[in-house]
Amino acid sequence: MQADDEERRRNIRRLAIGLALVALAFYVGFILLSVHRSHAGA
Amino acid sequence: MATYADNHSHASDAHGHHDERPSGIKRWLFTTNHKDIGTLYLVFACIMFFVGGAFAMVIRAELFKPGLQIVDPGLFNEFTTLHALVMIFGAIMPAWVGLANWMIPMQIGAPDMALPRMNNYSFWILPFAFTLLLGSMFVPGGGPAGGWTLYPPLSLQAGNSLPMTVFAIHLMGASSIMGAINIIVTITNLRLKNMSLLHLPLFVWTWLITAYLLIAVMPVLAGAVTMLLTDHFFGTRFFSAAGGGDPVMFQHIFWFFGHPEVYILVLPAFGIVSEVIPAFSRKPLFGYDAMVYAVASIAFLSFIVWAHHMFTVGMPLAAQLFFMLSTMLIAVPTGVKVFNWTATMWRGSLSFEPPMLFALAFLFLFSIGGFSGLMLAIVPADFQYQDTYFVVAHFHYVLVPGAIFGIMAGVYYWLPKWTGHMYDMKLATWHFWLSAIFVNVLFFPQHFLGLAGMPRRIPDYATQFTDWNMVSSIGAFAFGLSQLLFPYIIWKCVRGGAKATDDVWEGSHGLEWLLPSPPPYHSWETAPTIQFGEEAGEYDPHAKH
Repeated sequence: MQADDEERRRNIRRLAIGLALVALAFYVGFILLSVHRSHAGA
Repeated sequence: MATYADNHSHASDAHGHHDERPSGIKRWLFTTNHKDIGTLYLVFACIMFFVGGAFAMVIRAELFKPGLQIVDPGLFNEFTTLHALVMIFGAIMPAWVGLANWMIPMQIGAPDMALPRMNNYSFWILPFAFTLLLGSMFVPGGGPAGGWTLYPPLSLQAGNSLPMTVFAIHLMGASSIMGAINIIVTITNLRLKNMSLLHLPLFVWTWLITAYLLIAVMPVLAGAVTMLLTDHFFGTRFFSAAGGGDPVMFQHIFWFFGHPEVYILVLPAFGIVSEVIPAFSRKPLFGYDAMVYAVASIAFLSFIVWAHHMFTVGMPLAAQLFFMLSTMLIAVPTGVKVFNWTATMWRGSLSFEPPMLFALAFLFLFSIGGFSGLMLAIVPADFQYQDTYFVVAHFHYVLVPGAIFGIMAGVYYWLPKWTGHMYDMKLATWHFWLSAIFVNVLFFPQHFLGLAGMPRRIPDYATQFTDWNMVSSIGAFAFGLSQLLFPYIIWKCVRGGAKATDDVWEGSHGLEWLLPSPPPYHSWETAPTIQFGEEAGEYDPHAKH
């Protein structure tokens, strides 16, 4: 039962971090794409 | 359709001794309880609904007759911008997150959300975000006035409000993303072990899909406004044609966020209607699987239709055709849903309590918004409708009798469960009829105004538009006033009333109705033993034969 809980906790942490990374990738990705498209990054 | 039998003893028996909760202000500031946080979200959304509504009342008062009478054009532009931002990010989205917080753990047999502290943070960010946004009205140069779409170069002409608006949007985005992560993680990890994905209640399904949409598109909006900020303060030229950038690129990025955002606002309403119509038809939902696939298809399609918001910027014919046809394709899964809801009612034993009334109004009026959406999808027609009141009528039909009536149906459906009291049915029925009548008086004439050529976001207009504008404004005042009934009915219900039974409605169906009314502070601490489908001795289309 305890092992079950531990595994669930680990899964929750992994999924939450994974989803946060996806969100971050969308944020950075769209900015980088715009830098590329506009040739005006700086 | 997930069918199940309950063979567990009532959850409250096992929970009674755990029902202690902190009291006073600390309870609300530091709470990690999904029901408390749900309540905070709903109260916040209600306050913002009236703040956004107040902006709308001023807009409609100004448009009551031609000429400028109440506000100067600059303030009018601020009010149109803030009305949209407050209603979308402050009222509708937090209301859905509030309903999700209250209902998802109860509907999937979980004790709470998977990440309760993050749940607290994601709510408490919001009051700061909106203080910042609304506070921007009082800085030199006034509040944001370029419309909620924040198109450059207009939005870059704002005064000190720009960084405040951008930071407020970042905060709202962070809050939404944290909320979405929490919902996905909760549904994925904390639902009952034998509750397969195709046994999830439709409200949970629609929220799961909505949460994925949020994670994909809120960062895109954050990226877009970050670039506005750097263009304004740090010398970049992302959206400046003179510096090698492209203002139209902002529109592409914004609407890549903006169109899925429309579905973020309305998908949970599909879930609520899919819960309410079967309950008050006393029949299982017709075509559960088709509903799930239809919602998923709509979510997918929402990513490939964004440029229909900007046909008039000039784009290749192939792009126009692609975005026109992909937009029209959305009518297919939407049609599936409307037919399924209708088929659910077919030969059902219908009754018309307030949640059902709001769900039925949703069905009819959201369809009107869908039809005008189809008209707008046709490129040559859109060239005529672009930036007219027809567009305003279209998206208000989608969002007011769509999203907001969905929220009201949900609140009236679950309120007795939350409070343990029945609400004043007569008053709620009045609330429905006043809302349903005046929402049409308010928005239907705007179709005529738009087709006759009245532009949106302008405080003055040619005299031939006067009559329908007067009708629309009268509808707005009556609709606005009738909404005051909503918090009064809720307040009265929280204070007392006839005791609600545990299952409240005769045809209600789902785990939440197995809990007492009101549910204990910590529900489902011990997972209930529930049999689904065939295990429960009923036909289950998903069971292996």
